[in-house]
Amino acid sequence: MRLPDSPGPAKEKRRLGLGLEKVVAIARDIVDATAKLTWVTAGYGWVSIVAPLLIASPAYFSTKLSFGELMVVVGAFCQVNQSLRWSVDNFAVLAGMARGALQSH
Amino acid sequence: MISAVHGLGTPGVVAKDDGDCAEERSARKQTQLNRAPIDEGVRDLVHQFREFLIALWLSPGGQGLAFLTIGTVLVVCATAAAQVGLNAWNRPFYEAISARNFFSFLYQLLVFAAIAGGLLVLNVAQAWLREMIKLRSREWLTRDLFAEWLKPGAPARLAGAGEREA
Repeated sequence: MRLPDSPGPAKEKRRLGLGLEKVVAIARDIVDATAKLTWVTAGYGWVSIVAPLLIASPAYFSTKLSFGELMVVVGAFCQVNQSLRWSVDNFAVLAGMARGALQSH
Repeated sequence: MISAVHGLGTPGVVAKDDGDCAEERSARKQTQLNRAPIDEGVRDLVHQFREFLIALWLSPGGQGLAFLTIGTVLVVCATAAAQVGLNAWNRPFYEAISARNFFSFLYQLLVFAAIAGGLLVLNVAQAWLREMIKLRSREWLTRDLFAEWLKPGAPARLAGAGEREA
């Protein structure tokens, strides 16, 4: 079988290249969005280290709470926080599922 | 890598009598039988990974990917250093709390803000670098694939390549 030396492959390459550029541009937007989302999800994690101590500090420094009570308050905060942060951790996954649901229409 | 996997399977057990020895032999045979497909899988994986790296290295995007990889290594090292700093911060922070020293407490909160802010930037940088490595490697592998398929004579070669592609 003799293969043509026509501009076919070059044309096809250009067409595929254009399609790829589009996909890459969209993927690039997703990368930037993921990075922006990380500001929120990672920031939430760091803030939650000191948040309970900060919130309970007025009561502690006005000597209404003992050190032990403060630690128990912090422990309770962390436990509730751990249980409720699922939606924060899985926001990217949920967004992906929502996209899938939108695409299937 | 593969020889290391083989080396792991050689037991240095000295059997006391022949009964034990036979048992040992059959057990060894069984592990070797079970290991054959795993070895093959490992070899295949190593081969595929090598092909993946070569294709990326030879592509025009290789340099950009090398920079992204170096950036990731640097970010991971900086994150480790900041984590050590955060761990050390715990002591003065809790000492300020236990001493009910309000100003020391506020000062330690500022120190925390600096460390956690740095870690947050590193987290975001790491996430961005990770996603960019994924994106760029896929992009350049796709370009490499296009170039391979659109080489003159590719349709003729495809006929014999069915099994490998499947």
